[in-house]
Amino acid sequence: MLRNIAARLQQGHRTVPFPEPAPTLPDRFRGAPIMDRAKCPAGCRNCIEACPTGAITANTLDLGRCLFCTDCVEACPTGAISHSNDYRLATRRRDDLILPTFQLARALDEKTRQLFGRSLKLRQVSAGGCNGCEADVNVLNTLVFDLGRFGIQFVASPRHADGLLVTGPVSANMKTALLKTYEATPAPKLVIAVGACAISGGPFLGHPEQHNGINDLLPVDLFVPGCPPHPFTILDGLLRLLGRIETR
Amino acid sequence: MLTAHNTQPVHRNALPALTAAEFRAALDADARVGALLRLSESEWFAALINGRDGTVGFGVCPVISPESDRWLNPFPPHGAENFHRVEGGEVHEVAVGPVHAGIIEPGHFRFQCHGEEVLRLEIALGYQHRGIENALVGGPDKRTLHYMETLAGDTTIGHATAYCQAIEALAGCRVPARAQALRGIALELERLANHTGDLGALAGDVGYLPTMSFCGRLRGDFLNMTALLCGNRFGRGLIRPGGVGFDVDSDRARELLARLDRTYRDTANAVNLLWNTSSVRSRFENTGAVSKQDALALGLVGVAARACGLERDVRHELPTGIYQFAQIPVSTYHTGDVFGRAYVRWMEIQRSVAFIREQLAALPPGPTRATVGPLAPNRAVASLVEAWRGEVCHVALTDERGRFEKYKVVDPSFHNWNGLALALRGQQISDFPLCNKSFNLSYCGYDL
Repeated sequence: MLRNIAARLQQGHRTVPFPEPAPTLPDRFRGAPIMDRAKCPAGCRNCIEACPTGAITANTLDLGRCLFCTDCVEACPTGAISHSNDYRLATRRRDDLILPTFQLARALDEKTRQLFGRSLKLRQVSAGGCNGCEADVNVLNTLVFDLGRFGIQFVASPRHADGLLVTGPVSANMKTALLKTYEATPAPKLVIAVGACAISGGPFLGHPEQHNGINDLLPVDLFVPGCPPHPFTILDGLLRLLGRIETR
Repeated sequence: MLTAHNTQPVHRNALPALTAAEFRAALDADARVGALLRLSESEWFAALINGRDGTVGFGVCPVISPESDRWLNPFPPHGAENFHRVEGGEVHEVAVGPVHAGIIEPGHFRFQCHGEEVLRLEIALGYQHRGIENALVGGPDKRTLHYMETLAGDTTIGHATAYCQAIEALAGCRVPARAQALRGIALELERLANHTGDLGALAGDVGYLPTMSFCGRLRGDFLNMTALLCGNRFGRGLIRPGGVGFDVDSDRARELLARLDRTYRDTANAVNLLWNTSSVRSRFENTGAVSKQDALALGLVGVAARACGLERDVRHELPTGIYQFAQIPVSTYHTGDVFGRAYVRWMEIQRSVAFIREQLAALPPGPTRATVGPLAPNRAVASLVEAWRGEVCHVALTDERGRFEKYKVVDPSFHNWNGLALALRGQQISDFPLCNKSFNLSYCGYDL
């Protein structure tokens, strides 16, 4: 008992304040890519060809496909591409993930927000996820992020849930289980897609063994891009959805 | 298909990769190669030693015949009805998954129970199959490295390193010493994060919340050290063919060392509570025990094998990269139970911290990346890395154009899922979460 108390004192208070003050991320953290197209040499297609998921076109960049890797940065001959340090990336609509018309997530409508705004129970379904997104969703339950203080909780059964948080590209072998879990969740219900895989198939885009994410299978209310998204990106998205963060 | 009937010894020289004939010969020539063939269907496998200056072997591993599909789903696939059933009036069946109660990957567990006692557990996997090995054929291409980083996302460094070693051998590329050291640091950070997280989760599974809470935070602190190196908590972008994607200057090394010292001090404090708490020990000890004999027969690897007293650690047996120069003692325990698997993790945490401190104090100067040329045609290479779960094994066969004709990945989970099924026999079904966490195996690394 005394040892426990001594350990408790040594370990200290570790819960991070959020959303204010803004969290400090590693200096090398890769947020959304910034493309300075003025620097692009005429006819250069290096980044388009280097991108492993085809996220880049001549005018756009799809954060739903982006793995936030460095392939485009390394391929660029003029240093026109860099990554911002901004972790706020979640959107409400699939099209909102496409730069340059990116649109941060807005809150749910008033009625839904009254239902879920102060208490949101989610069932997590991993459908082909690599355990990267799963791990950084799970970490929200640790005392560092302390998800419970925002009234959000992961529950063990879809029957107890207000919505699903889905990771992975939806492998063919998980499709049935995912749809059954959705059916078992009482309406009204939310669906949250976390990670490039769940949004677009990610690195597995186009494989016949998967479904390119959940967008064609379920109505999605929140898209959280990343590979995997930083825990703060997920937390920020959840709180924006609930109208708990409204600032840009 | 490669088979192992050639008895001619092969002298390992500086050849970066071997032909099929040399590959076969290497299998027979070295007793250690045979020792590393930890699967019973030996006709399926050949092994390769990829020479390194004629001294010590580079890596060894099973190769799978292309026509074989048993590697995908040796367990009953999704929807299968052919589970083994135990008959009897008081025998009942418990089915769990694929969607589990926690935030974990999908798999199906089928228990045959008598009261609380588990008579038999069958594990059905395959839900996570994403078709990675099919997609690797014809590579390497722009997606290959990203497949490696997401084969098992919690083992990004382990799998990416195994892949890069294979590529570098096939291309005859020499990785700079500084990059080798940084790869070692990243691999040990990955081990620290996962071992610390596992010890916390084990504490949670026996209802001992202080260590669970502390380790949940500390695991994140280790992940953030990897993010300090490369910007990503799982090490995405750090390991690149020819070296590493990010260098560490002296300020960053100092910062890493300071964080490591702080986090290790708190980890020791949190973990030692486990060993000093009798209620935890009584739940860990004699739970989910696997005998040394069974561990050998099943071909267990990694923490699960070492907890049974087997000295299996490729950092020691067939070291590559920095591990040729910096030895890490093999951590073993003799009980084969949950306590053994937990305690081996704690020993490895201490040794990984010592290793990283040593490496940071003496980072070799020089470049961090070398150019990787085209891959040699018609060659085979095997690459082994001791990742946090156990040995990660990649085998690449190139065709006449120097593209992948076949690329085989063996995650340590492949060997160890059967160990979990065996560990559950005769246990209380309520101990399943505890036993499962003590193995903590990868679903997607198995399903690929």
